[in-house]
Amino acid sequence: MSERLKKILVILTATIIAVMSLMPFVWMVFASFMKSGEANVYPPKLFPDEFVLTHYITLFTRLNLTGYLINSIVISVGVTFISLIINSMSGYAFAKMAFSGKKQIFNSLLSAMVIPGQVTMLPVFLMLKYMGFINTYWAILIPGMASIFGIFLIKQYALSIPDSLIEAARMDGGTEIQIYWKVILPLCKPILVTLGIFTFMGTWNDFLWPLIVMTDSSMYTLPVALANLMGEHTQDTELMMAGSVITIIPVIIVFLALQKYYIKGIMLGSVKG
Amino acid sequence: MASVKLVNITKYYDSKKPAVDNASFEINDKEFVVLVGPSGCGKSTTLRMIAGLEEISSGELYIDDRIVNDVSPKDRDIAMVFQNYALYPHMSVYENMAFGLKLRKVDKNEIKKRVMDAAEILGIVEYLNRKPKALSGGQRQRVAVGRAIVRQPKVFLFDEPLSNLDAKLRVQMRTEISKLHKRLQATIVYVTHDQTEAMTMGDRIVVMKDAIIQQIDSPLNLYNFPNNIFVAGFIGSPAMNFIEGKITDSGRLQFITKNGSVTMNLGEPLSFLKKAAGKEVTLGIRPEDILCNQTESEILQLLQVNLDVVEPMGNEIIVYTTIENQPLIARLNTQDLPEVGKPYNLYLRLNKLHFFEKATGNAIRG
Repeated sequence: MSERLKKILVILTATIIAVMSLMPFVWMVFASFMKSGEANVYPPKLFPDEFVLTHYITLFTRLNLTGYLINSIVISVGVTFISLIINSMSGYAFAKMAFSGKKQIFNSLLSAMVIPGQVTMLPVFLMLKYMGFINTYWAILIPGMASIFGIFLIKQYALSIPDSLIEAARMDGGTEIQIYWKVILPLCKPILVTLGIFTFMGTWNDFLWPLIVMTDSSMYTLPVALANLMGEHTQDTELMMAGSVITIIPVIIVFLALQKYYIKGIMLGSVKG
Repeated sequence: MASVKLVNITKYYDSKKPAVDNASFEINDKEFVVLVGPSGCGKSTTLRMIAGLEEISSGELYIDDRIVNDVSPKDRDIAMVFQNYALYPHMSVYENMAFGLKLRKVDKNEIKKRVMDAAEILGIVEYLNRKPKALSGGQRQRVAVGRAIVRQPKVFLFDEPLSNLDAKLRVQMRTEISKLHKRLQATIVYVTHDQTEAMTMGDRIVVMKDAIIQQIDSPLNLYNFPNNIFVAGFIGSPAMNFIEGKITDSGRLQFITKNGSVTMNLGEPLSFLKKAAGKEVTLGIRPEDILCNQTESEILQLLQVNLDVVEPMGNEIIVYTTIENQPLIARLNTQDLPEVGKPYNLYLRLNKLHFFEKATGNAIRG
């Protein structure tokens, strides 16, 4: 009986926590459909009296949200794919190839990880400025092309691939590129998906870097545009909520679609050792 | 026609001690050559140099009279079967076997034909659509062999292919690989640490130890005429017995054990041992050359012993004893169970004795 009671308590606690953390999101969605001013009444309402799309229409017509959405998609998808390719290539090389200075290079990369991002922001900004990439997609794509964390993650995973598999492919007549593409990449799928989600979400949600390098308002990404919106339309809660919904939807879709692999990827380190 | 020739092949990793030291031998067309030796003896390294997976530090490697030292593995036209199968886990059995052909841009219909042929030979047609993880160890090994067969290479290399299988399956696959060799008329280089595998499968056996080739010969020659004490002890199971002692020639040619507890008169067939008179030697005798009854036709040496352990096997009895603290094992062809602890008469076949110089371990022959 006490076992059952325990179970009920656990489920109850979990439910309460889930409701508490989900409520703001639910309210955000509903509020985005409310008429102007309705979200600020007392006592607060959960459901709108009437579902209206005014704010969404405003966002996409008057406030040029389409442009920001495109910016965000191009940048996030671009960074994700380019960094996956570069990270996986170098991770594989660090794990399986023999070249001089391999250990030293990898160690210096690892030690560079302790440098906080804020420290490098200004130098990187200046470099990009001299290259003339400020206010272009490249300003975000180039710094995001590779990440030490990603290389490390893939290297650790690739270490678990037996050497004989690569040797077999070599005997079978594969060139190094073919071995990478047809043997290594498919085998690294779980870690690639995990890293892909990390990268996509990180880039999509990133606020500070796009704010620094995108001074032209037409190049804003969604989070920057949204923050800008907040400044102009502080009173317009419903509009803000509609903007937030648009911003958060792609991330949720990506996460839900790939969460099966994502959890598998997180588990990998602990289970495989 | 495909032959492989190794000329003074040496392999150094970083250390000063070579992993393979001056290996020279030739593998003829359609020959089944087994490299055998204890782990770390350099046999796998030799195979991997033939495959092109390891660089050759010095020496020349020929495949069909062409030097291939600097030819990449894919251009050597050889196929290899790995110990851990090395199947591509994300591909079906069919794709695994077809992979090498696809990379070589072989025509699709031809690929299909070759894969089906190989699958039929190996009895894996029904598994063609499965992934490797859905196969048993034996089936995986077959797929690995199939992947080599479809390539129709000049030379097959096997790197301890059976050591991951259980004992029963190993015996079965052993005969299957032998059959396959006859059927394909292939040149095969096979690495194993198991002397039984080497003896049963090889046309010729290369015995290695500590990076050096000890002897190259047919299985029976290795067994009957081992070049040195290592080969003598490595080939055969149970292993050859060794007794340390000395040859003396004071009128009669004799072998006296170290502590002098046994003296053997060496008769006519062993007169060549005169040249070793006064030297310390090790006497070797195989367990099956020790008898429990006297026979008329052979010259025997009586040995009185106390038996420590008696193991009836049904067809034979294996007895364990010691001579001056050195173990002695005999396989007796009898049904009368000897008693443990009681004195027992054993007879050594004098013409089957082997003698090795104690200093070098090399065989002393006539």
